[in-house]
Amino acid sequence: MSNKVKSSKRKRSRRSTFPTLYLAILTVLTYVPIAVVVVYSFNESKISSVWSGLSLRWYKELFRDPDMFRALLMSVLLGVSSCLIAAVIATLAAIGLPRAKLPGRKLVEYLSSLPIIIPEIVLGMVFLVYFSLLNLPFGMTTLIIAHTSFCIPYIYMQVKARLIGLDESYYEAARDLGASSIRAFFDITLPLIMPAVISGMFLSFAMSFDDVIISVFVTGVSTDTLPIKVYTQLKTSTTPKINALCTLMLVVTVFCYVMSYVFSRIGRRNMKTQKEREHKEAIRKA
Amino acid sequence: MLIEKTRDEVLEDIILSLRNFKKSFGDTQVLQGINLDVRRGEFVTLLGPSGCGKTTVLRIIAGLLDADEGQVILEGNDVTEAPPEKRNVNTVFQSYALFPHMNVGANVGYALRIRGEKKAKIKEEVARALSLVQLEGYERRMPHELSGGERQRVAIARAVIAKPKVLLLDEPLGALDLQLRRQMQIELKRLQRTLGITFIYITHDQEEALNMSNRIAVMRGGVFEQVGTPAEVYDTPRTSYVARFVGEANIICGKAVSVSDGFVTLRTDGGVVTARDGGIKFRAGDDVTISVRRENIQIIDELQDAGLRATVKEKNFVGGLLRTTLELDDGVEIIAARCGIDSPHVPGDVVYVMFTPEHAVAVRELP
Ligand SMILES: Nc1ncnc2c1ncn2[C@@H]1O[C@H](COP(=O)(O)OP(=O)(O)O)[C@@H](O)[C@H]1O
Ligand SMILES: [Mg+2]
Repeated sequence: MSNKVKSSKRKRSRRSTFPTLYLAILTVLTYVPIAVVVVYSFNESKISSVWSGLSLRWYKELFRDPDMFRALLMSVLLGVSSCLIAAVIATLAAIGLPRAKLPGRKLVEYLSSLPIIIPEIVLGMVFLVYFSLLNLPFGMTTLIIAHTSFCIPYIYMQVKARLIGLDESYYEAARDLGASSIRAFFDITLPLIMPAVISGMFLSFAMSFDDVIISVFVTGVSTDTLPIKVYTQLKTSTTPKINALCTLMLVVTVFCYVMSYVFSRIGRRNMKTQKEREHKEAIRKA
Repeated sequence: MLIEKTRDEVLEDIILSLRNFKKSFGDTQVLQGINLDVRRGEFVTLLGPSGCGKTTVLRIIAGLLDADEGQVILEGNDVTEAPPEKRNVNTVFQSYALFPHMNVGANVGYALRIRGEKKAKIKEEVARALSLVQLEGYERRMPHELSGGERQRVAIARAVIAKPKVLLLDEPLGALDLQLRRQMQIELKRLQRTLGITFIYITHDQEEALNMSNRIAVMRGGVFEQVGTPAEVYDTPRTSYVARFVGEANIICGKAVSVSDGFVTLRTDGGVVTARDGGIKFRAGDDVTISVRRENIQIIDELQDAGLRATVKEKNFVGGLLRTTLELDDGVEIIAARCGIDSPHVPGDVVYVMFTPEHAVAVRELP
């Protein structure tokens, strides 16, 4: 008896040391460097390694730099347009594919989420070669095409997960009450999956907003995005302006992830409860 | 396509006919030949255990599912191929399926909005439908703010607002507690009378079916084993399954010894008894199965002209009735129920079980 108590105590303490250790490693490896950059972005001094007082100087300089502002504009334009286009394509795919009666349906569904694991450098190369073959001039168009293509899987997977959990009877009830299939889609299905679409859009905006690798392959002369700017500037000079820029990008990205999470939580109560699903399965088995 | 009505259909005013429809999911045949004629204004209940295919029948009527074979005929029109929105039939779903992103008013008014009715008219009709289910002033509430009973009423209001020819209800009271269920049974019945809409109602609760229906279709494994009025189904079950499922009747088996004028006398291990033949033609020596309701079983101490020897096993007082469990000589268990709180018999007593022949009926024993 006392042995049992002891061993369970030991287990508990081991259980609590492991997360602590993990958290410590995580902090040292990731959050400390981030914190350093964030803190130094408010550093007055011109030399990054010397702390000379709190100031917003580098943020001001950043916004005064027309090049940077242009890059920001490019990034936002690119992110917004590619995730909007991707949202339409991914949503239609997630809804349409399971209903389609084509033989390779499963394969197509699988292919829809595959690009997530393809190395970005490969994708970038592929786009470069492909667009050159098509004779497409490199610029905003090529950027949007490339970004749309890697945004689709993120939205597709979110929407698909939501659709699987969504009780079919809402749509059926609308049909039953006189709605055509299109009307029922716009009145019922779309509003119910909208939080998932938006969640996926935030996620893919974040992906697009910090993408360097694919972008450098397909960008044009005058369409450098923020991450490309950061990358090229770092190679030439490391003014503390870069710290400010990184901090801003961090804020935008974190904001997008948070919004993505928030929207993925919204509307969960419309999902089938676990119990209902179990019940249906039990009936099917019986 | 207009289907020629038969004479009977005109005379009886048949509003909905299900003609021999069948349905399989993969290899399993879920419905094997469903036939039913429903009269205008009738309350028909599909009664059967979970998984016997009730919901599937309803979904085929609603057009949410295609049958493999057979026809659905609504007011003389073959609607087998029609999509759900083109059938004048509405459904109260088992899960209610209230649109979670719309308030009660928008839910209830949805069918009218689809038809393009004017806002003012919709508002008026919604108010009327809500008052019909005693939910005046609930327009602005959201579905998740409602109790189970309220949700159920909203689902009903939403389904009747467009005045369907037939209302389909899939276990609408299944999720409610017993007290609320009793109350809603009465309200639903009242609603059906006021609206004059034909109801097709699903339940697995035999008491509910007996209470509410004009006719009951007892379902088992994808077929209707018996379709009849509550009295017919209760007093003259056609099969041993129906006898057991509706009112948990006692089933006794034996061999026919003599047949006379609507009655059959059979011999079992424990003795000889007589029952109505239930329309089955028996000859001496045939296997006979009979059904006797619990309340029609009498327990006596001395053998009279007919009766079966049995041993008292157990006594329980349930729902205002004394329930005595007995075992016949051939091992069959019999339950007798009668008013009162106690009887002179104690477990272990050897007694005789008897019943008047009118109270017992021969049933078919289907596999
Ligand atoms: N979409 C489906 N795919 C496969 N099997 C199904 C489907 N719908 C129902 N079934 C099966 O059909 C049978 C009858 O189901 P259902 O009509 O829902 O029964 P009930 O409503 O009487 O409980 C069950 O065995 C169920 O598992
Ligand atoms: Mg069911």
